Amino acid sequence: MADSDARQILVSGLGGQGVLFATNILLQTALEKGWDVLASETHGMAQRGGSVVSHIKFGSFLSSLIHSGAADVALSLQREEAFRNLHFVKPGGTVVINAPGLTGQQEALAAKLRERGVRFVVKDATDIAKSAGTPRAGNVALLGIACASGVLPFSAGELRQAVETLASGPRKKPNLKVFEAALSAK
Amino acid sequence: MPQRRVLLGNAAIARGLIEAGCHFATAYPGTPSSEILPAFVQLAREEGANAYAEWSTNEKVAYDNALAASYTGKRAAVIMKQVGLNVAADSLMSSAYTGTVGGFVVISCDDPGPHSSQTEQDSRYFAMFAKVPAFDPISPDDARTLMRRAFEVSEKLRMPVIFRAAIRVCHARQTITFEEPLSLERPAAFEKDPRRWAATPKFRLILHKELNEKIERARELFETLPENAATFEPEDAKLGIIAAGVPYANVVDILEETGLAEEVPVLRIATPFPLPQKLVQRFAGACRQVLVLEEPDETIELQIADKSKLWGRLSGHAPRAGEMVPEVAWAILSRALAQAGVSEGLPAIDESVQAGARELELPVRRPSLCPGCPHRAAFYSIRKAVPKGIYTSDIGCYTLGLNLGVVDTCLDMGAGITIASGFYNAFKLDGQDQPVVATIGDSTFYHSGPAGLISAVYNDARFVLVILDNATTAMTGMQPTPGTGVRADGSQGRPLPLEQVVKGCGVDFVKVCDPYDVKEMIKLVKEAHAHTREPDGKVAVIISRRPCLVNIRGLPPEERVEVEVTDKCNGCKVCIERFECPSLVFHEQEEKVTIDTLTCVGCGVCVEVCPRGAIVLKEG
Repeated sequence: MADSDARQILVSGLGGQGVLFATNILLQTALEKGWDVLASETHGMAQRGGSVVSHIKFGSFLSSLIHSGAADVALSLQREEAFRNLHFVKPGGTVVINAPGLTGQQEALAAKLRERGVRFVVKDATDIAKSAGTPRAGNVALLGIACASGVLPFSAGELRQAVETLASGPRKKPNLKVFEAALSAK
Repeated sequence: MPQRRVLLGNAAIARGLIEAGCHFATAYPGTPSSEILPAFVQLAREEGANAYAEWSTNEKVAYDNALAASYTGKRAAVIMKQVGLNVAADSLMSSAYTGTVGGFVVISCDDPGPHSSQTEQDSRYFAMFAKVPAFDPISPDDARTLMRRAFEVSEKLRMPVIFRAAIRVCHARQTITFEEPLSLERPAAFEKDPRRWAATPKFRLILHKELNEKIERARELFETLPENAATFEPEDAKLGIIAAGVPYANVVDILEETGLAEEVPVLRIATPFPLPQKLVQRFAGACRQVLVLEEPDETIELQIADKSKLWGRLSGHAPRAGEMVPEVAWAILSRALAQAGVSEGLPAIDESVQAGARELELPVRRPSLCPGCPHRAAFYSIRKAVPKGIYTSDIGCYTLGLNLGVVDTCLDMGAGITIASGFYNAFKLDGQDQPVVATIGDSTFYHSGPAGLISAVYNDARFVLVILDNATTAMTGMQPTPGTGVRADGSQGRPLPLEQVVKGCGVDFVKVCDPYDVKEMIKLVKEAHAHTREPDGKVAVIISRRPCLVNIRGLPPEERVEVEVTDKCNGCKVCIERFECPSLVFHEQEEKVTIDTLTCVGCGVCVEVCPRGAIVLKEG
């Protein structure tokens, strides 16, 4: 798989799903590559189970926010949050969704976007994480899925290194196991 | 090689403090400012700096403590969210007159949106009000470097300066290259000068004149401040933009993206008050139209006297409420470009996807209390015990009790108590016996509870006050409280038990309970309410004590239970609507409730809640 040239990535989900950790892994990977990064996070009240979204930009930007229609990639830990943030994705961009599948209505909207070259990758990251023994590591699984789909500007090795750096202590092995499982998931 | 790291904006601000040689910082937590002080502690430690950090009981207390350090010649900073500056306003206004010695920076973090605040207020207005300079960073790294300027200006003019960082600076992350910190020798010394430090009104008049001179000198300094600069010098430009803070970052990126960066000049104002008037006039004079982009209010626009070619909030070109996110800036810019004849405007942002998503009727996500949250159990008991009560509440996670119908008011810090006593006496005036139950968190109680409680006891207000003591400041990220006595640097200070403080406020009925014991708590709230109605009764206080589960990383294994839903469940949804635990999930097809075992923490409180007894402890 080749690394993509994605420079604006959106990560969404619900408070408590680990959006911030997934964001930090992507930022750490970019830092190791020597890139300039700028990102925006959700803190405070919304973290109590509300919608959480991170904007990530690599390169010489001043604003930490991605505007509607500009994201190269949108990763979502939760299906409905993916659709709430779908407008951020640019024509030709990619949406990676943690879900076993889409509803009929969602599929109809996705079909319209496919006509504009938007690619949808829908896989059950939570299930992969569960099978690998760490049900809460859906965030790391989603990164593995995105990486295997070739939509991230990083190699699996670079991401693995960042997971190792950030998942410290007893969390390291289980997270790496989930990451590997997601990389090879069908 | 200098260190290069990705830092949260708030950590970049803290790094700015260290690099500016500031070794004394005080704060009260509040989104979006909360992470600055912990980062200051951490980064000072890494640097081996001899630094002092303090979580104060409130922003005014924090302000005065840091100000005193400035009086001794040290560089000092006080950190708070924007509404915290309301609490510290008395100190701000007066210290503008007395002046300072060591550089003194007031960091006030704004929340345009608002995302996590009761107002969208603009801290730059406070700078105007107090007649002190304001700084307005655009990004984390800009905040780091601008901090050094802020200290230089404060020290040169011997006055406080406001450093206003907006939420998109505080909660952005950016690559930061560390610079060598200033090393300042500032042994504490206090030169007595009662005409300044204890000035009576006669001397205050002199100090006011001095303040007016200082602020004009600040304006002179800002005319040539390197950060107050244009992207290029305009010559008869059809449209020029004057921008500050995050809107500057947004508009420059949009111009870059749309290929207009060399056609439309942008003047950055890093110091929105006092406005460098000559610089602004020179820039505006070389433009046919000028668009002002700033947030959340119109501090810069107001200060420009000649408004004939000005477009901004006052002219209706920019919305007067809400965050100026890139899409909003895009629309404002597009209209201005077309109106000024620069172009036909920007390509319209495609709104069809958003419209399509709206048709999906995505669930409205309201924040709610975490699974197993002790507040939820306490709210359930309060409602059961005093169903006809008016429930006044306060600022914190527990404001989310409004989802459960047990929060009727939330005004500001401490108002759970003061609104309760006002309600009681207003109803009493008409001979009405209205039960009132107030709730307040432990940290909020220490912040501004005692004054209201003393006044309530003194004026014979009768209500039940439940202090939701989770032993931390949870909403803002688990900062310690005086109740535990843990200090900002992690060392053990002197704890002040809530019971002692409450008794000291003149309350006789002070009882502690475990909110997980629902039956016991319902009984206790009833008893407390009865006390308030006795002839010699007073305010009754219950301390509902159980640590925040997020802070202690879940229930200890020996306290955990397993629950299941039996066939008795008839789908009445009482547990969903009255208890709203995220781990109780309604199954639409089966028309019954199920337990989400992935998020359930095993507190077992829901067993008490089901009117049919359908939620039970698992056997074995």
